[in-house]
Amino acid sequence: MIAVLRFGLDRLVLLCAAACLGLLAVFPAGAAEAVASEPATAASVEPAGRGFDPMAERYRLGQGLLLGDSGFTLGGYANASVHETAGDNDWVAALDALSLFLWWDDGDAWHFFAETALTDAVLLQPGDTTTDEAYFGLERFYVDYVWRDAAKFRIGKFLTPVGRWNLIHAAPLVWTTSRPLISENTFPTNATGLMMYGVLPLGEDGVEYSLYASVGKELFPRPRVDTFSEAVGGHLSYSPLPHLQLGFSYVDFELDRLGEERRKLYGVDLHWSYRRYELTAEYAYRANRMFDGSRDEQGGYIQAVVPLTQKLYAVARYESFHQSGAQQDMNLYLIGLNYRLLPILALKAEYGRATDNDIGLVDGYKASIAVLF
Amino acid sequence: MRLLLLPLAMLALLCCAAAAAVEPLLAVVVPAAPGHLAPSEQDINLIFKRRKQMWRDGSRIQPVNLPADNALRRRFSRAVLKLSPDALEEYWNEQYFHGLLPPHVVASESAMARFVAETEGAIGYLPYCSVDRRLRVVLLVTADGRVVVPGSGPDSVQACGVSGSES
Repeated sequence: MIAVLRFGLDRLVLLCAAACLGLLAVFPAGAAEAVASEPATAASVEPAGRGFDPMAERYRLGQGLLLGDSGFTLGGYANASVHETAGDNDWVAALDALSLFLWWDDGDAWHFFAETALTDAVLLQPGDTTTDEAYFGLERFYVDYVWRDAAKFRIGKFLTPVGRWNLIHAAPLVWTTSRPLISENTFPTNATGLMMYGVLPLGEDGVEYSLYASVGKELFPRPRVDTFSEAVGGHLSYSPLPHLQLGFSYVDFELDRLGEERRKLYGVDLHWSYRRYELTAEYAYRANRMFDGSRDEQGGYIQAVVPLTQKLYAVARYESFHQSGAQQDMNLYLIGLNYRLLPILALKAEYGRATDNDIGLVDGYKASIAVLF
Repeated sequence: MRLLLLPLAMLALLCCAAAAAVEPLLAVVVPAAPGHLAPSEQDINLIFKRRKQMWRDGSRIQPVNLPADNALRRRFSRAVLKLSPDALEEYWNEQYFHGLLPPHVVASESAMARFVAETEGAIGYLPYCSVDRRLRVVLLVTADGRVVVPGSGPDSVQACGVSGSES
């Protein structure tokens, strides 16, 4: 096992370095600037006569590329990973995600956003390299109309507003390579339909809400992934205390492939962040009306992040998950490190182990590099 | 006696000037032209996080920031947004994932004054003594980080001879 790990880790380091160089090579102009640049500045193009920022038109890594004065901005993120496998091969490396965002803002009430994603573009295993698993899909595609801050309207394909992870799941924005099961297994991660959302002026940070409905017919559904055939739901998020955010989710839905089996999902999420320490937790309970509304699937995780140095963080997560039909609850333990070379460029390494593992999750090491561009 | 008082007075003035140079009174400003109501501290917090994007009349708010390493901006972020630079950075990275960029950035205080004065719906911040007649002060941040409404603030509001409320 140790030999296997050494064998894998050598390649892991090489892969991370190669991926890092490759990604930085793609963005030569932005990378150097991003180190020294402020994080919270927008590249801005003011109307003629009002452009006071000589830096405005420069591209910066993680802040998108303004396409002239068209109102369009191009951005995205990429993630490459390596992990151990259960099969004959010791490890597999992959360019997991190459997502491109394109959005348009008319400076007034209309906003358009699209995200395309190339997943599993290249898979490397000992003695084998393949692109057969590559899939190009449309993750998000919607138009927003902002009537008031408290009442905005969205139509199209969007991320299902359940919990916290699903709404901020981009690899550079999360602490671990692997994703908690309840953030994607208990509900379809995307919905196609209508949404009303906004921020209500209550409390210091306001209360963020979204109400949505889907009548099925997912836009560009991903193969082998079940989608909503019908859904009505809502999500509420607010800060009762400084540094603390609480969220509540509810969705009543039917899945495309499971026909009339109506389900209800209740969720709660929590995020506390103070001086670079973080605590995040989510819990979801899914009931199935076919079984008198009893538990169908249930799970929760709690994750702690501790800064070790200015750029290095330790991460620990525990998750409990009861999959539909399983005899017992599964327990997942994870510890890892996250090195944020830049705020938008993360190197991650982790070890995960599952007990009462009825669904065949692979224990072991994972590592990845992710960049927001 | 006069010869003694003069250096003392100059010393006192220099001390005041030095203190002011460290932490000048910060003014949150909008264009002086009548129109938008004065936003509250909570509104300004939401505006600069771009969680509030519209004035009450439905027109778009145009918040504008100084560069991230500007001392005035840091004070503004601490006092009004109540977020550390790290937390703010994380916040904007998350918003970027949803296609939302941070407020525009201008390179200098004079650029800030000009942008806010000439842009409908704009809101920014300046040292109080840099506020001119083209701008209206809607909120003040004192040297110790307190946020006060113009008119109810400290005596130093009068220091530059500019009215704290509408001009």
